[in-house]
Amino acid sequence: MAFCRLLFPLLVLSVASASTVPVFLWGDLSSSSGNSLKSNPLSTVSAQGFSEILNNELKDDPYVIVFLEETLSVEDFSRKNNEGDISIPYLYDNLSDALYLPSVEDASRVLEEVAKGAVHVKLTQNGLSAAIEDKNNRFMFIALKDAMEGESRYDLLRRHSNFMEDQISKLEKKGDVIAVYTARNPSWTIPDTHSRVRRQANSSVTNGPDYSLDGLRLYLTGVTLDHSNASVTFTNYAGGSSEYNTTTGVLNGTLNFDQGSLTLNFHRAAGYWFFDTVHFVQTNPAVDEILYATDDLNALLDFSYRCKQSVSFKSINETQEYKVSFIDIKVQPFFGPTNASTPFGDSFNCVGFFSAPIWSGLFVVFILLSITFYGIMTMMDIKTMDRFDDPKGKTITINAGE
Amino acid sequence: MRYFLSYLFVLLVGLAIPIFSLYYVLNGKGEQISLGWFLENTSPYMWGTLGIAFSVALSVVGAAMGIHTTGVSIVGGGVKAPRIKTKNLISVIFCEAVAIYGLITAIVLSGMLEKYSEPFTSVSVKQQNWMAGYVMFGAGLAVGLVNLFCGIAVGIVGSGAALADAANAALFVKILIVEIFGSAIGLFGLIVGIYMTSKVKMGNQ
Repeated sequence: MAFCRLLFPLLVLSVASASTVPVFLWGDLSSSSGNSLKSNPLSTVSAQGFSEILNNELKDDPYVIVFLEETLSVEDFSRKNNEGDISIPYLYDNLSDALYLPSVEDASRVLEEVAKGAVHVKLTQNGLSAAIEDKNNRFMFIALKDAMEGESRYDLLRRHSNFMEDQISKLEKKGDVIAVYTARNPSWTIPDTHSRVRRQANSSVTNGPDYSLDGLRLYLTGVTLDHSNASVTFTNYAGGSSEYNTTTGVLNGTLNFDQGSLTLNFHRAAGYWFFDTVHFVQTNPAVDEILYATDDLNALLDFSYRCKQSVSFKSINETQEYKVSFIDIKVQPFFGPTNASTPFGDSFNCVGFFSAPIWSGLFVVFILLSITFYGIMTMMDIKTMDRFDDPKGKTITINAGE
Repeated sequence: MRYFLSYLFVLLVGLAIPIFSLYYVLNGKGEQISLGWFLENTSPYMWGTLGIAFSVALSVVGAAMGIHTTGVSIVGGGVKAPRIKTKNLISVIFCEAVAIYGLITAIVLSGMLEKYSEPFTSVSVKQQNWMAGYVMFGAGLAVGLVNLFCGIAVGIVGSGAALADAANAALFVKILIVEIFGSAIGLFGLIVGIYMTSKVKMGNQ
């Protein structure tokens, strides 16, 4: 109850799409002499159904007073305070001739439609905006908007309960009176479980990471171009082509992007394939550059090359330096016909298992350890000369010369 | 115990190396075991400093073993024949000379160790530095190993000379000739080492 004030705006905002409110009708109901329509806790009454019920009740033209809370839910009816007192005791007292519909759709709207010539009055902290006894209409809407700051829900409902009791007691001279207690919105909702729909982010590269061409299998996460301190990613892959010559062992694969086309040049020699150069052609502004690999990119003929770090190709012309970097690449040229389902060979990773510094460290440590153990071994082998030891003989005496 | 440990070590190495090598070879990746890659990618600093370390360390080990051998003989023989002690110190001096050769080589090589900066301006600079590293390693190792065995040899001969001198004073001078030849081989190592280091040029040009 203490955090009602905090929950209030949150709950009001988290209204479920089909919001239903409870409606409590009491008074001189037309069906009270044999309550044929008891409260129906298990199903939601549609707006249509509620309209029918209302018309049924109102056929004797009673005086109808509608108390409209800002928010109301079924839970409010059973709310209790710390001492165990119920929040709306007035309604409990009137249960015998009451009609309770715990879940009605669009109750306030239906009431507005059914009510003809209704007067709307507001209850604020300053009291009623107009005295109700003075009016000559048959419908009275009282909007209960007197919530005080820091007030608990229990106190608010209790106050409203007392208010309703007061008002009804003043209405006895109006004849048949039907009172309705409802609200515009539910005060407590079970929030819809938001299920996350996983959506594919629109990749700017329409072809995804697989850029395979005939004779070349290629996986890339992205390609970037660095030129004059500006870095741009290649987007909107528009297809590619490849040409290869199986006898000479040369393969050129062309990838066309928005920013230009990249031709990857491979050749084959001595049981290896080599990724030599990238030919970058751009039309606007006109660029035609051959870029060379910064590190040797090669692998055995039936093996692919894999590098998660970027692999870059640079131009040698230093005035206008272009650098194309392939990120997260796995490439294998086949120098023969392939399709998208040709499997990659085992991959050579650009990062080996033992790097050169690891090997040199192991080498030096091996030397040092062998020296250490050799030293320990020799030290353990030192023995004193005991050939001439004779425990029973006399000790040697030496005449030290003066 | 030492035999057990050395057998164990040899056994482990003899198991590990074939297993790793066969993995690579049988997967068609045999060329990934590349000594050439290792030599090309390791730093010349490592090779150069290892050469310096070997030259002085192994020479001193040789000298130490030599002095140990001849020293105990002089001391032992000098118990009954005290006249040998002054004359036989020359064997100790020959052993010590071996250590000095190693020290000289180490100092000369240390003087040639220079810093170079990494983005090489040209390929020839890189090649000079790499060659310098290897040459320093080779020179240091050569001098060190030569002095190691020379020291051991001179020590054993000196020990024999001391004991023979203790038995018969006329023998010492002849045995000293053997010792001089033994010492000469240490000098060969020094000459080769110094001659190699004339090719060393490390640095940025």
